[in-house]
Amino acid sequence: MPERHPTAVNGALALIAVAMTAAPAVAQTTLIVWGDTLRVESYKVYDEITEGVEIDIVTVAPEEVVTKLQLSMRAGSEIPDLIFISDAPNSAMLSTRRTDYLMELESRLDPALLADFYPNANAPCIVNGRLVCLRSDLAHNLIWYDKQQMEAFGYEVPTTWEEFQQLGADLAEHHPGHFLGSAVDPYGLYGMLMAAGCDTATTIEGRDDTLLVDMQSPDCLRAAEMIDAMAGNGSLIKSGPFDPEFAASAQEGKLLLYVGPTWFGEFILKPSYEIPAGRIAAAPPPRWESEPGPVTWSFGGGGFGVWKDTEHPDEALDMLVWLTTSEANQKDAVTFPPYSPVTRLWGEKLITDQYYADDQVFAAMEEAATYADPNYGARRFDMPSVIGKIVSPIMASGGSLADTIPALEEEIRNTARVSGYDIVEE
Amino acid sequence: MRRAHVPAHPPPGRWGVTAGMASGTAQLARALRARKRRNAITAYLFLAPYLVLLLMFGMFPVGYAIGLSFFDTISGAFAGLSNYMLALEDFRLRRSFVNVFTYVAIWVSLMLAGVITLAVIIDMMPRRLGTAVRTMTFLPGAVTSAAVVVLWLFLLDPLVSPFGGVYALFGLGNRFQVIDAIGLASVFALMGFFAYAGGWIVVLHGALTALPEEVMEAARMDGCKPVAMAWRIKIPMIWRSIALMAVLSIANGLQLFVEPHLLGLAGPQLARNDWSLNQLAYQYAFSLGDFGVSAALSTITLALAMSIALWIVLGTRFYRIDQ
Repeated sequence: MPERHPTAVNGALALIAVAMTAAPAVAQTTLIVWGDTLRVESYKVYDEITEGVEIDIVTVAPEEVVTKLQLSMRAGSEIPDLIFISDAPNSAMLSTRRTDYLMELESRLDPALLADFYPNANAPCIVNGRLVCLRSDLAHNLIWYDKQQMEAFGYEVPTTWEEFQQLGADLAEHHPGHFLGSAVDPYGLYGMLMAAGCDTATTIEGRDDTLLVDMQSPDCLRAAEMIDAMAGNGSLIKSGPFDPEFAASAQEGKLLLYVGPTWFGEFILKPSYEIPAGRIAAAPPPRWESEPGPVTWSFGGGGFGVWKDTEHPDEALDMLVWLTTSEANQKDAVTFPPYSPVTRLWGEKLITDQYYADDQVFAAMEEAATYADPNYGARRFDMPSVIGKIVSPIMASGGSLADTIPALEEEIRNTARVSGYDIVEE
Repeated sequence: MRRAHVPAHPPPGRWGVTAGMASGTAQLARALRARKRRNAITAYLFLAPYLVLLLMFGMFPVGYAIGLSFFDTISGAFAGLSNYMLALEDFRLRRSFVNVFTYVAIWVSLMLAGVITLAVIIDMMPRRLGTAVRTMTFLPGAVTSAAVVVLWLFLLDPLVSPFGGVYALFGLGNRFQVIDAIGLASVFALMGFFAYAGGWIVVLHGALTALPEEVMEAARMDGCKPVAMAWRIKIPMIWRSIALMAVLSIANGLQLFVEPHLLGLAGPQLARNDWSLNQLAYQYAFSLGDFGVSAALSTITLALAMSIALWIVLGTRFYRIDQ
């Protein structure tokens, strides 16, 4: 069962106390809100600053939100008015004929407010053309690199994927043992395929629940061939960024550059790989030479959604807007906020952070945010687990991604069909 | 038993006052019946807490799931066998089926060979040493399977594993390669063996110590050596316990869930969300919200486990007590 926080109980006791002292009772609206432990603090703050609305906080582990909501919708009781959504597929899983939970938001919110979100920031919240949630944080990929080591080796930061591949080849030849990422990590592989414009599961405008899955295109193959070449020369290694081997090599200073999400610096490079201060810098993500600009994939980032049948829509929407766009909540948020006016306030601490080798980390993040892929959206199945199942074992045993593409394509089509999608094959 | 000491036709003469005696024996019979009833009531009273829980958390959910499997999740209308058709048409079913059966085959073989061998060896040991070893084998079983998974993820990681040298010998540089080389079914079977073997060693060892000493004595007199005695006398005499272990292990193994579900702890490249039948049912219920198909898959798994159990029970005349 979800753990209940004492706020509600305390709130209730306070209310009784107020009633007993015969003060005129304020009409109270109670909102049931679900969130993970990180979200509880924000909920409490909102509870304190808002009059007439009481927040009943229920802590639900992020991976259990869909499960628990399915059960509570089925039971028809204790359905939350507002929830935290931890992962991109969840908004699609919660907008099906079976579990239709999320409220359509575009017609209920100020267009000016929505326009100030970063481009495509809310793409994972769009299901069949309807906006059903707002993002709490963004996690688009950019280049993280060891500035000191790159300068020592005399390398330039790549601006294209072709240069990225060349950097891998140069490293393999002149500095073997140094590397640029993982050949088995499904999130990394997915990001590289998508940056090349691969149609792994592209929505089609005007056609609900329909996906284009066409992976035998030149766009997909150029990424697959790059990955194969780099896995072959060892510049992409056969363990993932969360594996002890990967971390051990990174701690030895072997990880020269990594295309990773906005949180990679603060939550992996700093605490887990223990890269010393003054070495790490960031740059915008690379583009393919033939493309006008980069398109970048994301790794994570959550959102908030509101129950479409809530009895208190105004209160729930007010809370939603406060959570996602208010300076009070987002200025000191843990990860990159999606609403640009407050994101710039959030970024000030990165600019002055002495850990990084220069003051351009936030600028790189912000530039990367403008390249966010509109395809990083809500699907009712988890793509990284499909890639992990089909591709990772092949890559670990030295196989080829390009050769595995047809099997991957078939698996994605089947998985999407089981999840209720119609598939367009080309 | 009921009328054992109430003769139907009391011989005349010796039982002179027949009418009075008859009413007396009738009273006695009534008293016996009443006592029997009281005994039965007492037995049911003791059983009641278990029966209530069994009904609430054992029988009711099973019945509910079987019921659900025949209804459409959205409309709630009777759907006949359509949930079963959807489940059987799923492209992952065949793969999960093969996975789980491979796992059960490896795991149950490991259990039979390993547990019987260890129980017999412990039985041959001097009593104190045997008890100590039995306790040691039991301890890993006290760890929950979730913890066992985490423990094994360390054991399979060349960086921290005590078997790092062995992995290096085969050129396996990281955990993913080790798991890939051993095979997921074998990895889960190993995890399962260490989690469950201890408990069954205790059961089989218990069965072995209960064997009549005079039979063993007679065997020894006839010159039977310890290994032959174990193989030809002891093991055949405890076959019921062994069959029970096989039945329960198969039923348990078909429901494999925790081990593959938690594999993702070792990194996203190892996450498998549809490896086993139960995981597939879980996917239907909690990713797709289709409780009907999920219930159909669970019912299919249950039917499989029941059929195999019945086949073993009937084939071995497990419940015959005429010996």
